Amino acid sequence: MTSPMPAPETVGTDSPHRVELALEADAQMLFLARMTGAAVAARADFDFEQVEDLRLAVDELCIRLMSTGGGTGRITLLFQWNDEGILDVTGTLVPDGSPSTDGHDRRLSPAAPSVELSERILDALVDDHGGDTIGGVHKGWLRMRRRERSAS
Amino acid sequence: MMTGDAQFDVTASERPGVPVLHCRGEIDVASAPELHALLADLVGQGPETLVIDMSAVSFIDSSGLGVLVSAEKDMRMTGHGLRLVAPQPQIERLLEMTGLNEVFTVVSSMSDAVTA
Repeated sequence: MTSPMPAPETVGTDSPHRVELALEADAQMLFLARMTGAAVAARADFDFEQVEDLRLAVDELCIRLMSTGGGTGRITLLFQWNDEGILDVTGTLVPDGSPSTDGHDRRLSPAAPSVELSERILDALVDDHGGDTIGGVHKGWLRMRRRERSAS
Repeated sequence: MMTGDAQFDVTASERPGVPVLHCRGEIDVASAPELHALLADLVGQGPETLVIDMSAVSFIDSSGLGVLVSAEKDMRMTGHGLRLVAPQPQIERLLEMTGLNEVFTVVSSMSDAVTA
């Protein structure tokens, strides 16, 4: 479900587990965000299906940030999780407002996804997600809860 | 044709009268524009059936799905069909979660795709 509110703080700053990734807001770089998301989900003991879900959800979060922000800038992703199996991802895009200087257009192309489709994917994958823009800084967040494993 | 993205490549072939695109790797916001261009070109040639081999695609996001939906719409407008072949389980699951399994014709083998 989507929320206009900033990320909740229940996992927050006292979380025992935090990983931060900063990367250029460049479509070519999003595989790094996906890899990190999958690694964090595995570290948080999510099952294979949820690892794949988080991989895709982080990608969609970045796409949403880039769609909102436009142009170039820098994305910071903060992954936080606790021992109860709640995992929060908070993404921030600070646009630098300048066009690309190397001739490579890093913005999303006309083939970029519809917001509606991205929204539908995030609705299906995560427990909660949302975003906001404050003072020109674009934020997005999502939350996943670890699924209980069935007893074998 | 090979694209420039190391994590994605696509080759084109033809079964009798049926163009086939074999995609491999990750279809994301970086690689989707190249797939979009290829598909637009193929759709523009007006084939009755267009087949996309998805069996080696390990990842697809909303940008990739958007490209496929766009091609499907264009094919359908001319009364023709797009078929997706053997998507991996996680992609089949994504199609189900988004309801796109109702939009696409998904078949399990290349022979089904070219003869159906």
